[in-house]
Amino acid sequence: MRGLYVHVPFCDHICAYCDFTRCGYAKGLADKWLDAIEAELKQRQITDCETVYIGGGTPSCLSLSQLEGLLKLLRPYLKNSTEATIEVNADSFSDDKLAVCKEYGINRISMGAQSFQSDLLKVIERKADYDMISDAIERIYRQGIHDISLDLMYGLPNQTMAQWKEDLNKAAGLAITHLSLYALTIEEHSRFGRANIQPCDPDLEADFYEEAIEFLKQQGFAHYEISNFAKDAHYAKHNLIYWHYEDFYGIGCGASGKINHMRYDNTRNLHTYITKGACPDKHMLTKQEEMFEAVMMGLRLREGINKQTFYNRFHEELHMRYEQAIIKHVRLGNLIEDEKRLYTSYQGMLILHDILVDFL
Amino acid sequence: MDQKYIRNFSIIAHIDHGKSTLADRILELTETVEAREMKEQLLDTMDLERERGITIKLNAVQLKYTALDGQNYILHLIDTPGHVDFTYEVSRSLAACEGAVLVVDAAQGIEAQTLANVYLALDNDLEILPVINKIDLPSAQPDVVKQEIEDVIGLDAQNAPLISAKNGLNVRDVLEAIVHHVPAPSGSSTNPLQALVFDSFYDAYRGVVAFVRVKEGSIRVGDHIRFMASGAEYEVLEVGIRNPKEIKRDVLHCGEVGWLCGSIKSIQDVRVGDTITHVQNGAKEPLAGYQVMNPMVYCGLYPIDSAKYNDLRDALEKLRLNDASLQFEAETSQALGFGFRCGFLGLLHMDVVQERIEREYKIDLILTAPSVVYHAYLSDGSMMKIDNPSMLPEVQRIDHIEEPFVKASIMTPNDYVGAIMELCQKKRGIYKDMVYIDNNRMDIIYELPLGEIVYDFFDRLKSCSKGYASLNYELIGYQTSKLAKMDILLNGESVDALSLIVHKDFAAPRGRAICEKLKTLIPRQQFEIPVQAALGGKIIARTDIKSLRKNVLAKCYGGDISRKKKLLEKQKEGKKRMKAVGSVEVPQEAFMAVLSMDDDK
Repeated sequence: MRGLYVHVPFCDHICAYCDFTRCGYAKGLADKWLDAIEAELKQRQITDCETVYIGGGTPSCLSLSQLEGLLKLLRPYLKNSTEATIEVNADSFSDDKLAVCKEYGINRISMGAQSFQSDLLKVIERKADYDMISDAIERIYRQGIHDISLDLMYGLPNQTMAQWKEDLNKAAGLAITHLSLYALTIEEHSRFGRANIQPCDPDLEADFYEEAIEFLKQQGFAHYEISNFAKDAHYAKHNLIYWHYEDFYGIGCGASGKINHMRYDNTRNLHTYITKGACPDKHMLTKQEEMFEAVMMGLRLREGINKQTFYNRFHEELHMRYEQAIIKHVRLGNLIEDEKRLYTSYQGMLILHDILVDFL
Repeated sequence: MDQKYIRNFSIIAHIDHGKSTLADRILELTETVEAREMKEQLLDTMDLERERGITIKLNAVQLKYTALDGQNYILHLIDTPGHVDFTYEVSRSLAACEGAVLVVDAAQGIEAQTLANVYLALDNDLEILPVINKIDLPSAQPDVVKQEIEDVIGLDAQNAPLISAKNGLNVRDVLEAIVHHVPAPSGSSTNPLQALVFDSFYDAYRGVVAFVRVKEGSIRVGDHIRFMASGAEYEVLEVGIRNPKEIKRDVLHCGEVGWLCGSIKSIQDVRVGDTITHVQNGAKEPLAGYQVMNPMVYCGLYPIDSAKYNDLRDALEKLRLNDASLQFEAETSQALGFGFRCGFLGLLHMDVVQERIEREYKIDLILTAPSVVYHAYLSDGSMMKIDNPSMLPEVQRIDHIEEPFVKASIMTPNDYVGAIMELCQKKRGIYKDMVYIDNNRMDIIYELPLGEIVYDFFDRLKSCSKGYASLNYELIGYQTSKLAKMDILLNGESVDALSLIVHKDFAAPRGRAICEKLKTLIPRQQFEIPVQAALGGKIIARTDIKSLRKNVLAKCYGGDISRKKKLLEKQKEGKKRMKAVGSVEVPQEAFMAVLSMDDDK
């Protein structure tokens, strides 16, 4: 199974925590970018993808005609996909854009909310508030797209537990099937990083996280990946491709892909992308690297790594390859190994970073 | 060249008074180094020296100088370190000279080490030529400094050259003073050979290279020589001088300074301070040499990777070759495994050795906190020298403990006298004397426990005097103090490498400060770690390192893989610099936690 990721590097406004490849939206620039996307798609000759994910940036900040232009280019892939997701912000996802998405076969919406607290939204510099978001979700649902995911963040500057509980409660009351919860990371090249904003107290961050896990369980959300929760098995199929460490194409400025043991990173410079094309930086992955990365991604899932799948792919037993690390962390109660799988315990999931260091 | 036109001299100064800069200008002026080869502070060959702006190792170069009267001279300049830790090295280089250029900063005047160096030069019967540097500074007061030199040191400074080494101003006056006032070397080429070894280093291809000053006789390629102290005999394969590149010669004449090698593979055969003579018709008596300096400070040195133990021994042996004051012997620690107990002249010396081993020999090290040598008198009347606090016998067996005291001389502008006396008092100092250097500056004399100086005394002195105070000290002997061993426990287990000997009255605050410091240095682990300080089995301070609850990357999708992997690799690198002590991973810096004290807290 392969996925296709398309990166839209534009935003109406850059959020304070963000360090992705993105820039302010400008119509002329987006037109040229669209031409470059067309050229890259033509060159790539993609035939075999089951999922499409249009991410960013903020894809919904494209104009209606540009959005339609993009979807038109992607039509061959959208048609054959089982899951087609687009990331949107409530403030720019108008009814006509929604209709176009529906028309071209988008069947899943990932909406950025991050917070429902007006003071926190101001700090992270985001426009869409609870009312706009709940309204947008209603519109999407009425339009017939029922796979809706929401992003929330915790560990924001001065965020309180009461605020977080309220956010979770509000989110659970919306017509969504999927939730992604991200702890704020202070990225060096974000506005927060440059302003020297200090990260949240690690104990408080852990409290936020554990509160969410507990609450969402009661609300019927399965905690299937470290940061992701799904109702009624509405897992993000595209993202599962990453966590299963399968191949995916990355299209667009700043996108990455992995195809046939080769990872490539497209240029992050929009001007270069428009004038010279994707200019991918290619790296052939060694078996060692692939095995580690498969572990790094696979252990993020609650189901963990399927040992048979690992063996079929690498012709090495997972246990033998990482014997020391596995034994150590099984003994510490961080990992659980059974006949079929290697997966993290609850406590292990919380400190996966430390576990993975021993697999390096 | 005729021996009477040879001049051997050193430049001595307090740190930062411009010694290395003056050396550079002299090299330029004598055209020893072509302008295009000129690097800042050429004689400081170690990266470390250039980075820190200090001279650590000596270096000897030969210069050709044509004096204003047209006479040609050969000068040998032997560089000296300026820091108090390296006083010993200064005395080594001075023993190879007849004269010393004393550089004094025109704005700062005489400092503690100016005096210390002058006394060393006087001990060696050297002609001292005062030079006043940095006269280009707006705050320069050459006349005041001249007067200071006359009053405090008792040298005639009226004709002292007034220079700016930085700008090259009047540097020629210094050279003229050298050729006219420093005596030519005595000794005779016809006498039996006596050459003083004042430095050496190990070269992978040639073996030991020894720097020598030929005091009597001469030394040629092919000569059979004997090191008089070690008794080792070798054939001389190469002799030469430095300018500062190595230049091979056939012979080193009486009065000259140069190097020799003879495929000497055994490092132990060549001791700095030894005298070389000929196997046939050798000298009867060795030169005076110098007294080996005893280390003042000891610490444990352990390789983080225990497989590098033998490499570490090698590195220490090679470093000792030109650093006789470095001492080491094997020891084992329950916490750290196999390593060495090493003795140093001071903290800077310790730092320098650590950095050289890590850089030049690529061995990552853990150092335990430095300790002075205590004398523990046992109930049975015997005495044990304790250079490793964890070796102190149990309380019941000890009658009393003595610790080394120094006489410290602190020179400071009057404004800071109060703050400095308060500091000395807090460091258990005993006031001895206070004298005026001039109207604005004083020399404060205290007796202080060396153990306190080893901690943060120097840094605190600098901060309470805005950097103006200077310190020099000398060991004066041992005194009984109320001392006891403090153990540090991690996760309930005493860590021998963290033990220290403290004054009982100061134990509680120090214990608290160490525990707090360790808490900031030891990363959180999966379980809670109590950090405790215990005195005679009784817990006197405690803090807890809370358990690590969450450490996981917030999000990880297709485009994040390589970036997130780099993060993990970085953490792995950090982990390599940690040592597992029981079940606790302890980073390198933690073992020095006792150093970074903050008693005020």
